[in-house]
Amino acid sequence: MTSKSSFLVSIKENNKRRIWVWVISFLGQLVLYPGVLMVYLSRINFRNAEGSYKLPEHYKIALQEAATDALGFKPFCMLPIAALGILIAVQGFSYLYDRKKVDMYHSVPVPAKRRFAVIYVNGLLMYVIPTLFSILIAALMAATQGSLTGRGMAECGLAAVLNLLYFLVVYHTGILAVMLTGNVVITGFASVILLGITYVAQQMLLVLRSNFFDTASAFFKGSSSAGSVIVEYDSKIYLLKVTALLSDIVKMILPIYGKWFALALLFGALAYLAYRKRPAEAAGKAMAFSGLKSVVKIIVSVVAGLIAGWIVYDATYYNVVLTALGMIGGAAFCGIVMEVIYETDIRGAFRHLVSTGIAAVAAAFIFCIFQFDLFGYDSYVPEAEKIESYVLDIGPYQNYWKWCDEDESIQYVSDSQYMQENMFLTDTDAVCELARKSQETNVEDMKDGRSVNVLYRLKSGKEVERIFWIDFADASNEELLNRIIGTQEYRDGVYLFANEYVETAFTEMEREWQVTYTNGAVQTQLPSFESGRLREMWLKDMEQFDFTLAHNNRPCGKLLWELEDGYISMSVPVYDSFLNTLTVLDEYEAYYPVELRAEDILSLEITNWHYQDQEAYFYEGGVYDSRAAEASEVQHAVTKEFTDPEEIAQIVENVYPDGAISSLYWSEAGLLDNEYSIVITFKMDTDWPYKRGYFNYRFLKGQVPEFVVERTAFGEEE
Amino acid sequence: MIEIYNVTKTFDNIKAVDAVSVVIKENTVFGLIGTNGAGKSTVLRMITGVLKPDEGTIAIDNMPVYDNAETKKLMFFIADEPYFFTGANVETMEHYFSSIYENFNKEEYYEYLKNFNLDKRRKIGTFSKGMKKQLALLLGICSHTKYLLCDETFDGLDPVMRQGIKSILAKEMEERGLTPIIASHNLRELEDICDHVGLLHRGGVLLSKDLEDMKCNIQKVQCVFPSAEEEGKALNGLDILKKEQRGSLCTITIRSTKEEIMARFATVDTVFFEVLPLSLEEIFISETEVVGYDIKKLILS
Repeated sequence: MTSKSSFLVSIKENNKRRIWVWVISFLGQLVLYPGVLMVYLSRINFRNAEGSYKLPEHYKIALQEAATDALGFKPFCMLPIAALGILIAVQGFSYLYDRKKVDMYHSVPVPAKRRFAVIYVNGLLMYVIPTLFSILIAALMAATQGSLTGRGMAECGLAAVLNLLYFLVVYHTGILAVMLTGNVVITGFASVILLGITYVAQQMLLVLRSNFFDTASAFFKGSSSAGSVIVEYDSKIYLLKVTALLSDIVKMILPIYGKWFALALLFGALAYLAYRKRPAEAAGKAMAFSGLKSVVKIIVSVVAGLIAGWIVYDATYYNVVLTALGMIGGAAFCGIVMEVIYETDIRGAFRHLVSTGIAAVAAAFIFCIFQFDLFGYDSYVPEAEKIESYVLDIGPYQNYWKWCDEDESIQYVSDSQYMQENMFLTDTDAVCELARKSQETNVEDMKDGRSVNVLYRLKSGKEVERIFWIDFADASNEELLNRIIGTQEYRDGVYLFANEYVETAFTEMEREWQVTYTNGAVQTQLPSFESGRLREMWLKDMEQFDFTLAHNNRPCGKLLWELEDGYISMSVPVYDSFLNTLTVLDEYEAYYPVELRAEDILSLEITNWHYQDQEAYFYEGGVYDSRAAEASEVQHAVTKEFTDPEEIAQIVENVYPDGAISSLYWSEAGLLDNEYSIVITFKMDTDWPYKRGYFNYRFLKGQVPEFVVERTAFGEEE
Repeated sequence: MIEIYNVTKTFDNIKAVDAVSVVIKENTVFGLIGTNGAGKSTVLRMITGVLKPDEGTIAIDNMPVYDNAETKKLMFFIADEPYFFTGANVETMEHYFSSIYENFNKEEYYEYLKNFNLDKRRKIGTFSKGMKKQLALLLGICSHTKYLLCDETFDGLDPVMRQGIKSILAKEMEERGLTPIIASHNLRELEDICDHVGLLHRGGVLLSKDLEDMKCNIQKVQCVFPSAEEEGKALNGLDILKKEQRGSLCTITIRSTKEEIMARFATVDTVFFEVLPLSLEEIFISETEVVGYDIKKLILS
C-alpha cells in the first residue's frame, strides 16, 4: 500500500472530476442503442400502418431484422466511438498539459502506475458501463416488442466486442497522443496522425504506384483499408452487416478481433511507456519528447509532400516536373509549418532547417523511385521456379456466387475473389515468358494487345500482383496461352460452372432453375430437370477449350441458367464443336444456328455513328464536354433502313448478336465494329420462334458491306 | 534530512539549476531565496519528485524521491500557483487530500478554516489569491507530512495572516518536528521565519548558511577613533568585510562574534563605539559582496 486509499476510492475520487464525460458517454450510447432501435422499429411500425406487410409474419420478421440491425453492426458508430475514445483519453490525462496540475498530482504520494491505472480504468468503464446499460435497455425494449431474436443477440454480442476493441485501439491511441504532446490542439493533430498517417501514406504510395508504374495492378488485392483502424472499421462493419450467415460473420470477425486486440495492446503499451517516460516539464509544450520532434516532423512532412505531389500531378495533367516540385515544396512547407507549431511562434518557421531539408530530400527521393523506377518495379518478373501458383485474370468474367450449405443460400462474390479462391495455375514458365514478352514489346506496337492481371503466389508465401499485356494476334503467344487457358486449372478458376457446388445448388435448392438456349434472336426453353445433365455435357465439351478454339471461333449460342425469381443467373458460351451439348439441345429441338436467315427479316435499321468524326467535338481545351459530345453524336449519327432482300442477305452474312450470346473477348476475328449498330425486325410468320421486339446486332469488324458504308456516310442523312 | 547533491536541470538547452548542492536539516525552517528565474521552483519541484534531475541526486531521509510514492508521503508541496479542482470547495479538497495522506487531520483542518474565516461551502474559484494560499497552506499543514514545501506561498499574505501561519508552523515544528522549506524572491519575507537560508542565483547556490551562524558571525560596528593609530590597533587582524567612513564615523562590517569584537575594542581607545544588529538583508549584502555579487540587484529590488 502506498496510501490508505484503496484502488476503488481512487477511482471514485477520479470520477468526481469526470462526471461530464460520463454524461456524454451515457447519452451517446443511449442514442446508439435504444435511440436507434426506436427509430428502426418506428419505421417498421409506420410501414405496417401503411399496409406494407401483407402477413403478420412479414411484419414480425421486419421487426426482428430492425432490432438485429439496431443492436448489431452499425457503420455509423465509427465516428461516435472514435470521438468518445479520444475524448475520454484526452480528458483523463489532460492534467499533463497544465503545470499547476502536474505539480499537484505528481507531488502527492500516489505511485505513477496507480495514477495511470485509475485514470485508464475509469476511461474504460466510461465506455463499458454506458454501453452495457444501453444494450440492456435496448434489448429489453426489443424483447417487449417481440423483436429480440437469438440471431439479434448474437450479432449484438459480436458487435459489442468489436466496438470495444475498436474503442480500445482509439482510446489507447488517444492516450499515446496525449503522452507525446503537451497541449490539447497538438494532441488532436497527433491523434489524427497516429490514426491515419499509415493509411494516408499507404494510399498515396498506391496512387503513385498506379500512376507511375505501367505494371501496377490492384485487381486482386484492391485498396487495402489496413493502416487505419477507422477506415478498417468502416469497411469491415459494412461487410459484417451484409453477411448472411452467423458462421461467416464469426469467421470474418475473429481475425479482426485478433488484429485489433494486438493493435490495442501495442498502442496501450506504447502509451504506458510514454507515460512513464514523459517529463513533467512537457506540460504546455507542443511535443513532450524533444527527441521525437524531428522524426515526427520528417514523417509527417514526407506524407504531406506525397499528398501535395499527387494534387499537383492531378491538377497539372501529369506534369512530372511540377509534380516533383510540388512534392518537395509540400514536404518543405509542412516542415516549416510544423516548426511554427512546435515553437508556437511564427519566427520559428526557419529553425531546424536540416530536418526540413531531410523531409524535402526524402520526398524527392520517393518521387525519383516512382519516376525512374529505381527498384525495377516494372521490370519485375519472378523466377518461374519460385512461383507456387498464380491467378491470371484474362477474362471473360461471369457473375460469380457461392453456395452456402449452412442455410442453402447463394451469395455473390467478386471476380477477383472468386479467381483467387479457385484458380491455381501451375505452368509458371508460360506466364513468366508472357510477362517478359510484354516488357519487351511496346503495347502500342501490339496488334491486339490485351491487359491481364496476374497474382503470383510465391513459394516464400508472398503474393505479388502485376498487370501486363498479351498480344492475342501474335501467333507465338498461342502455344503459351493454350498451356494456361487449355487447362482444367484455368477452367476451375474462371468458370463457375466447373465448381462442384453448382451441382449442389441445382439439387439442393427448392426453387426452380430455368434453362434457356439462345442464338441471339431465338430463345428456347429446356426442361429444368436437364440442368445437371446440360452442365455435365458442357463441362465435357469444355475439355477441348483452349485459346486456339476461343480465338479462332465465335460462340454459336449461349446457355443460360436462371433462378425463377431472377435472383441469380449463369451463362456459358456454346461453340459449334461442343457436340455433347448440342446433342442435348437437339433432343429438345432447342438449337438454332447463330447465322440469321435473310428470308425471316422484314427490315434492318443501320446507324453509322461516325465516332471517328465525333472525336473533335469531344474535347474542348483538353476538357471533356459532355454536352458537346451529346450534340455531336446526334449531329453525326446517320441511320438508314434496308428492306431489299438482297441487301439484307448480304448484311446478315456479316453480323453477329451484340452481347446477346457472349462477349467475343477471345476472338480477334470476331471483334465487332462499334461504329455501326443494327436493329432487326423479323417477320411475324416465320417458323423460327424469334423473341419479340428489336434485336441489336453489329457488323463483324472489317466486314461492313460497301453499300452500307456509302449509304450511311456522313452528310447522307435524309 | 533532505540532501541535494550536485543537481542539474536543463529546460530547452537552458540550465535552470546548475550543480546545486544543499542539505536541509530536519526541524528547521529552510528559506530558499533567489530572483525570478533563479531556479527556486525547479529545485522545489525536484525535491518533491515532480521533476527528474538531469544530473545529481536528491535524497529525502536517505530515500530517492523521483517516482517514489513512499518518499512523497513525507512531503506536501504548495506550488507558486496551487491547483484546486474546478468547482471545488474546501471540503472537496479535504476529501481528496485526506484520501491521499494517511495522517490528514480533518478536525484540525476545519478548525483552522474557522479560525481563518474560510467558508467551507464557498467555491475556491471565488477565493482571493491570498485566501487560496492560506487554504493551500492549511491543506499542507493538516496533511501532517514531515516536510512542507512552499513556493512563494507567503507572497500575497497580509501581515496578520502571515503571523497566523507562522505561529501554526512554529507549533507544528514544536509538536511534530515539521520542516518547512520556503522559497521566496523576497529576503524580507523570510527574515523572521527562517533558520537556514540558501541563496540561489542563475541556477547555482551562492551560499547556504544557518541564519544564527550568519548573524553571530557578522557584526556591524559604528565607531569614532581618536587617531589612525588607534584605528589600526583596533582593526588589525580582524576579517573586515566592509568599511565605510563618513567624516570621523566609521561603519565597519566584521566577520567575527560579538564577544570577540567587544573584547578587541575594549583594548583600544574610541571616541564612540557601538555594535549594531544586522538585518538579514545586510548580512546577505555583506556575504555576497565578498563573492563579487551585488545582492541588491538580485533580491532586494
